[in-house]
Amino acid sequence: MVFSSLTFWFIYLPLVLVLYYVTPKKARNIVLFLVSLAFYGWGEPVYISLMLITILINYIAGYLISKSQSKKKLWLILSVVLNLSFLVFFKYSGMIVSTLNLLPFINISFSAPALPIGISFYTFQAMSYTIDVYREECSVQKNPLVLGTYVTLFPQLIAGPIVRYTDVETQLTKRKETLEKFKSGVLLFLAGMGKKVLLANQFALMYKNLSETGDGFGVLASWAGLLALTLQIYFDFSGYSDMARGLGRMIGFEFMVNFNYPYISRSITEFWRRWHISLSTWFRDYVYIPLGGNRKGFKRQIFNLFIVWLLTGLWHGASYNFVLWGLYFFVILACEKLFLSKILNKAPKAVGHIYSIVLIMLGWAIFSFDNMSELTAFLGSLFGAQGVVATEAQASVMLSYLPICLAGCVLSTPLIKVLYEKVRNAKYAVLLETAFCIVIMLLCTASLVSESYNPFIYFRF
Amino acid sequence: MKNKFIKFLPAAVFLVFTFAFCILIFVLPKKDFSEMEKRYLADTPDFSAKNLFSGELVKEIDGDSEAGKSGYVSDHFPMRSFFVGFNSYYNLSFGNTANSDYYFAKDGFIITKPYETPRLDTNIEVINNFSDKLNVTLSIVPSAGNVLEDKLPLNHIKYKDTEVFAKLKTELKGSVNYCDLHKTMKDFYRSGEAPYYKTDHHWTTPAAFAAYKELGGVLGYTPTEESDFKKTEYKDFYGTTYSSSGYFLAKPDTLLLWEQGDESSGITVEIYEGESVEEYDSMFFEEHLTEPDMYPVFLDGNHSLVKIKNPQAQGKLLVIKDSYAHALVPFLAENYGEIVMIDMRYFKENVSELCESEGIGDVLILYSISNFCTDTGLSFLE
Repeated sequence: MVFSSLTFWFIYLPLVLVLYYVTPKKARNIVLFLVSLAFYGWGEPVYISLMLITILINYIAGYLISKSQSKKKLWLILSVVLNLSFLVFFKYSGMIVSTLNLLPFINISFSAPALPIGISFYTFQAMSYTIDVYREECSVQKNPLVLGTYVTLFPQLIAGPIVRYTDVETQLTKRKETLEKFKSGVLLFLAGMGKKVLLANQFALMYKNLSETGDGFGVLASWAGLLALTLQIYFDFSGYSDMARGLGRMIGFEFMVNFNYPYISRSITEFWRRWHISLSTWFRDYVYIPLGGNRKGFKRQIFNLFIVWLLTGLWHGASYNFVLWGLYFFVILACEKLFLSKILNKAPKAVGHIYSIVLIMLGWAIFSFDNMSELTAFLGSLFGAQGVVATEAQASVMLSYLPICLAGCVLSTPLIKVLYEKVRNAKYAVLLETAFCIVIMLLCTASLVSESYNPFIYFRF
Repeated sequence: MKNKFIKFLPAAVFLVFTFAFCILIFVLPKKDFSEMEKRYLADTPDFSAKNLFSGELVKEIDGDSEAGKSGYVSDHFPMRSFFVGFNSYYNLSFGNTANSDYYFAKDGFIITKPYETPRLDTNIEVINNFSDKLNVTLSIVPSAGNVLEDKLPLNHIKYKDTEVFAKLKTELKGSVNYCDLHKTMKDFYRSGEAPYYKTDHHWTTPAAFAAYKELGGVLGYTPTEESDFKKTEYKDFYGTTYSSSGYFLAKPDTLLLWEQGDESSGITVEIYEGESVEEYDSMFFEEHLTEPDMYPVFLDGNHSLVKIKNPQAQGKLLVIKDSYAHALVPFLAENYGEIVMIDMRYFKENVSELCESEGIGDVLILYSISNFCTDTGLSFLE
């Protein structure tokens, strides 16, 4: 199920809230576990079994690791291998087989299984538990229900943030639901819903309308198309994270901030500190630092970076453009480490901003085309390979989306947040908040009722 | 006490909104058919275990965008048309209209956006070939967007009518009689008349009459005088551009029926659908005047084959057409003993054989320009 659907908002959510709050505190995790499985199984009920197996593997592994000091490494390796083999089988087997088939003497006929939604997210979450038990950063969870609740927790199940077990360990058993939290959860949920439905979906349509005019991309039109993709990906993903955090607060959880205005960065290093923070920190803590980080000399550090960015690329999808996308950032980040950062620090602020946003946008082009010839054609069009500036039809589309693009650009900066911080303690703040809620609810419901069109681009993860 | 709780007002508003619609979805009576959209709404989901595990249940509830099916929840959402309209006007207020299929034009006109011309060349060729066999007259109705260009919003794409009409003049063979309605409609508009409805894509009855007069010169009949008709107005006509655009605050149109003074003209209409034939004694199907979309009052809308017989006139004519012809054919019926009207989107038999068995030599092909440039049915014409 996705949050930005009428079924989630008007049927699933009210039922969950009622069930959750009529249940006594002690039994609330059971409710959460069951409704989360229902959420996950919506559409693909068979994969509930896969989810249960993942929980079981990590529960048993955590238990065995805590029991035996001598064999704990063995159990850890076994659980990591099992976790990753599920991920590889369901997500990457198609890519691996088609790559092998490129070799002249191999011809495997194989139809890849359907991708279970959110598998990349919950596998990483589950692994963080087992690894942290091994590192003795948390104690073993003896209650399988609590661990199950942690892995399946519906707010962040299918699109993050990737919540680490250590961050929510106490919340899982001792959390306090308050009206204050509930209210801020509502505001965050609706802000996220607005980002997704009123912005991301519109930018998706903008790109679709621009590319469907059929006469190729002019220079201006292709940059407008790339801007649409750039805004769509940000508002889609950060909107989803906001909804997840908002829903978490409604039931007493507090999850980490996942996006911190990434498009205002002045370097790519800074961008990756602000973009999908829960993923970058996961790779930092479970791959980069265990590999030695920057403690084993500069050459080794660059190699470690290479591994991390290869994996980060692959994590985003089973296709070579994602590998390319990861390596693209590896090269940029390595350059920044070597010499670029020094130059950027001395240069005027604007240089850093322009440098970053252009590289980020080019990155999204690589990210968006899994067909290499389409990608090269699009990159070419950005630099005028297809002639004209924009066709008449594209100019009309661009003009039509101009106001919402401007709104999108402004809303990618912390401007609204800064303004809100100034007034949030004022007496009339509650009226502003209420008005915000009413407007967003009406517009989002209207948009959802009107459009069966609701592409969720993070489904391929 | 009161002040303490007022700060939770946003949460309260959210809960009231969410739960109110949740309850309304379950308790409100359901409609089977949406008159606005002219389609059946999603059926009540089948809550069987088999349906659940196959994933079908979810598709029935949420819709299936790949199969183009809408879901139960969105189809039966409370205040659905309010929300659809609200969304249209919200996007309009932002100038965000690229994704709509309609222009919100001046003076309450809702005008279909420009068409592409994927089938233009093929259709010209088909007609050229067909004119070797029979006496063919072609007439194309220009688009509302082209004729009413001064009503369009600033941000619009040009309509290709001028190019298409120029192409017709040069590429049609001499054996095709061509009747130009582009100028007729433009002159008609310039004279202060309304050639098209504001809330429907079709042309108005007076516009169809102007075309009927023009066609007389090509087909060789003497048009009936305007003063011979009894004119009746029907208010509150909400047409197709109204219902599909979501601009629900638009004012309705008035539909005009022009009927021959004496009702005893004896004209009969035979409608053929598959094997069955129904006979009627009027070309106007007044039951449609009680519906929001009144245009099917003319000849009951689209049918595969319709015969209109007038015992007081002579001659036979085959009309190959789209729905624009429905407003015009009732005028033609005064001049022909029998008009056989076929719609190539549904009629799949050999047209030459039909003409031979019916003893017809004259053919009128009448299409709106957008259909003529896109319709694939015409290629079956032989």
